Amino acid sequence: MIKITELKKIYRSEELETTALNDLSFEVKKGEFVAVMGPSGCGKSTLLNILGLLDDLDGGSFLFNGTEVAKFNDYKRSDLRTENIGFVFQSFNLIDELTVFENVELPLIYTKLKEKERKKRVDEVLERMQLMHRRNHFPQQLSGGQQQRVAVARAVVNEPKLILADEPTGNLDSVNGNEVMQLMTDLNAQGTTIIMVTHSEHDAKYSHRIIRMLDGQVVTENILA
Amino acid sequence: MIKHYIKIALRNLRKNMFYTLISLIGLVISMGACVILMNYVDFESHYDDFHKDSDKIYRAESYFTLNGAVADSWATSSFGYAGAMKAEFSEVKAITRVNFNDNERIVRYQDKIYREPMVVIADSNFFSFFSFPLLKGDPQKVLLEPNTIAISASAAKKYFGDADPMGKVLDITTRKTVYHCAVSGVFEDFPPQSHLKLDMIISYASTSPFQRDSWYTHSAYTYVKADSEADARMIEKKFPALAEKFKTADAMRDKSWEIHMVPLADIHLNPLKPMEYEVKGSKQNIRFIFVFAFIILIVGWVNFINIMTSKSIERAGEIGVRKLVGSKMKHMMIQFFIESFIINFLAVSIFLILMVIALPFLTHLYYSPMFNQFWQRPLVWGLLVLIFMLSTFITGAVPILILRKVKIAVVLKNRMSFRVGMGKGLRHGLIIFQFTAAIVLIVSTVTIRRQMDFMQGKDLGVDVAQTLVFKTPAKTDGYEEKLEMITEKMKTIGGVKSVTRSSAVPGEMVSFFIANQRDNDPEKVSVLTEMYRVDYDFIDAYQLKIVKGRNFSKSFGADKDNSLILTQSAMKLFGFKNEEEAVGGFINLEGQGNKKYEVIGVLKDYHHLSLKENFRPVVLLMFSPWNALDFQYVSVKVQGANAKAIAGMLETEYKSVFPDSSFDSFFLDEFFDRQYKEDVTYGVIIMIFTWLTIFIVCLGILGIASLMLLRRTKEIAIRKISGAKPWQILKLINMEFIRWVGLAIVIGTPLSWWIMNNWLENFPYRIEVEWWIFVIAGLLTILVTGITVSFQTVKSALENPVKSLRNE
Ligand SMILES: Nc1ncnc2c1ncn2[C@@H]1O[C@H](COP(=O)(O)OP(=O)(O)OP(=O)(O)O)[C@@H](O)[C@H]1O
Ligand SMILES: [Mg+2]
Repeated sequence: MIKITELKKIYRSEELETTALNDLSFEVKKGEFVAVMGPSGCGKSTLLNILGLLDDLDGGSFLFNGTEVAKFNDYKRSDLRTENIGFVFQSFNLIDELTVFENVELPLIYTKLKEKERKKRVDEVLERMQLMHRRNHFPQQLSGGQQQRVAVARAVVNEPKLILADEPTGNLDSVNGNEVMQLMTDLNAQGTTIIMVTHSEHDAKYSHRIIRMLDGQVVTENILA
Repeated sequence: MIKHYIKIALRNLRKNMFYTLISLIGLVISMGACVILMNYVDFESHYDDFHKDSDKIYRAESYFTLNGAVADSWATSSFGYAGAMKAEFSEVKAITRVNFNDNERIVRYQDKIYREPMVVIADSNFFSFFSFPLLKGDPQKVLLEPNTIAISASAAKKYFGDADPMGKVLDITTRKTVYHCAVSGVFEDFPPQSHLKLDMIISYASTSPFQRDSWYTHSAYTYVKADSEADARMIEKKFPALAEKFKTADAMRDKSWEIHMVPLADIHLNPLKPMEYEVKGSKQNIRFIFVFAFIILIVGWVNFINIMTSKSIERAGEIGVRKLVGSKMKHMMIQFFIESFIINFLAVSIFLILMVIALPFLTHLYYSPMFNQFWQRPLVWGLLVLIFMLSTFITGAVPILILRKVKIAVVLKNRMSFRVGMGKGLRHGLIIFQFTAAIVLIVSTVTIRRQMDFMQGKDLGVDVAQTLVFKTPAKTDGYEEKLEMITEKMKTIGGVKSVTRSSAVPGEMVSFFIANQRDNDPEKVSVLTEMYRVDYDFIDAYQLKIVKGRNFSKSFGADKDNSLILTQSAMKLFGFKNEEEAVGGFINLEGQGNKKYEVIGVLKDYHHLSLKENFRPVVLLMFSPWNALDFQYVSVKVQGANAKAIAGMLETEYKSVFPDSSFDSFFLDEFFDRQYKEDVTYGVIIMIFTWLTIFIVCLGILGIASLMLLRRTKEIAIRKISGAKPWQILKLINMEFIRWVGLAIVIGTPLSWWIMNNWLENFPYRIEVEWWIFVIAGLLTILVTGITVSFQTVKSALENPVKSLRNE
């Protein structure tokens, strides 16, 4: 599904250049659950942003389902992203002004789906995440775990083939964290490919494969399952 | 999706109530002010355009030059111009006259007697030349027959009630003539946007031949239709040669008689000329108000944009998330335009509702024709729609421009890290613009106000206070004797200091010009002076100062028909070197051959007209050359506060001697001050809208200060924990604003100095723009800003710092 070769990313500011990714290569197959680990600042989030088509790359090749997307413009990237990728972040990134339902509905707003169909899909997902009773609450009225479940619901509502998660349990206690990890596992079992950045060996154990990074490069890969 | 955005927009507006209100109030005021001011500008600049062919109509205004220099310039022309021009110039397509000779007449129908201010004589084609609608009568025929008259609808109502006025005969009297005219037409009252405002129009056939084709007295307006501007210029060019053939007045011979063809559309806003009767507008004032209308609109928008920009920082996170899940530029545009559509729609609605409520009060409180038919004026609606669209566009586009650059990856990492894309420089520039506008407006308001006070308070050199003036009666037998008798009788009423008759009073154009010469002047230069007929008591009653010579006196029998008193300006015009030379000198009056009139005294110059005019060259005399100088006014100087009661007694006396005339009186100081009406109105408009602008600017400061505090909550908390006192926090935030005010002062001072000096140049007698006005404007701005900012800051300066840190 994803094949990157010699990926390069350099952050430039007036005074200095930071090489965040340095000739990084790996492959992720359809249906895999991959964890990315490594010390702070090694380039995990940068990698995820590039995989999620949120950021440009400065060199190398990026094949997404066999298509070279390295040179895609904003507009094409946006299309590809909304059709294929869902995101989950450490800070849940919900919109405070929208209710739980509206937050989850948001990705569908930008598609051609009819209102009725949207409602059905959102309610299905909310049901699955056990959030139906919180449907009309605003994010501030929920616990951290619940907020992250809303974020996951939003990520999956338009049935993406790939989910990118950047420390999804980073802001959660262990009970809530496990709950979210269970959700991930279920999604993966239903066929969704998942790439997850984490600092927690415990969380990493839910995955099939762990990619360990250091200074913008892959150092080792352990296959778990 | 639209539904989603409308819902979100409303929720957003409600959640940010404080900012919504500030932006909304600012928008309502600035939009409303702009519409009202522009309506005023539009009203003033579209006079007379309701006539068919209005762009082809010109008024021939007379213009005399002597050796190339302008000797005089009047709005009027002489009676004979029209006939000769029509006969000799092929460029003249049509021509019509309105003759203002004795335009104030006493009109009587049975027991109804009124003095009508605007009774004129017009050519029979008047109603086909212009487009004033006739309610009764045929436009081609109304003014054809001698002794017929067309009257306005309100005059018809006044004299005849509901009865049919057609064919009824009105007695129309001046001091010397009586007409009996049958009503042959009724016209709709002339619209407010007409420079001509006539009550009654007598047919030209009713008058004497002298009023029809003489080239002498200039007291008619001549209107010409020409096909093009070029034709009009051609007529101007040909005219002096034509005048050479016809001009008759021996004394005006040495001058070249020219005309200016003034486009109908320009008449209202051109500067006041002698022989104009309407309340003039002012091109410069209109231009200033036009600019002002824009400034206040822009101030409102800037206010909105500033708040929006600051708010955008908070919305960057939301936009980032939306982009992440698939929102594109298109969606962002829809979202923000819906939001700005809603807020602008609200603003327009609130303005309309306020106007519906306020208009009756406004019209009542302060009558201005611009509020008249406010809702019927297409400009009001057109402008509202235009401003609404522009405003929606601008207030929608700004956040889009700012947030367009939002990088999803960056905002999602740290929501507050989004730095406003649109340069800080621009935002600060806008704030400085607001302050500059405030300073310029404050300086303008103060200066205009001071100039008005100056003009109305300055010693005129003539005493217009405590003076009751009434107009002399209509023609009767033994007119002069009766008038003299009643004057003497009134002097005996208690509280009356003095009574005096004259052909004009201060505050009114003397409007009787003749060309006189100094006796024994070898070059025979004729000098246009204003002739002013008075009696023995005039100079004392009005406290005019004789600098040399003496007053008219009964002990000199010749004074009654042989002596003149000059003002210093007239003296200089005649070429007398000084008062010594003038007194005892002789002058030949126009049309009186070589008869010598002796100068017996010289008056210190006084302001016969408002301070907008220079001193006039005036000649005082006691007789009436060719019976042209009638006494038109009797001035009664009173003592004490019971002027009203005295007026009552005067009326009783008057009615007992002149039962067939109306008694019309006024207080001279009020009469005099009406000359400032246009400028006072202008000053009031500028003042009201200045305060509104400052109010909007305050709202803006309030909004920006509170957002600034929001962004710096953490910084303030940390400063306080490190020992900063509340007043130091206040100072910190205030200094930021004071810096901007400082810059605004630097820009605003020279700017407003320049603008105000320009404005003051219109006034021959004017104040200086003094330095302390700028100091006041600066201090006031600083003060208002300080109060506004502190009002916002005090709360967070006093708050427990731990609380705000915990909220982080
Ligand atoms: N926007 C940016 N501008 C400049 N440098 C950046 C930027 N974002 C990241 N970096 C730098 O790139 C490197 C990789 O950053 P990245 O955020 O990918 O690390 P990370 O592995 O996700 O760390 P963490 O585990 O702390 O989240 C770091 O050295 C970081 O300082
Ligand atoms: Mg990271």
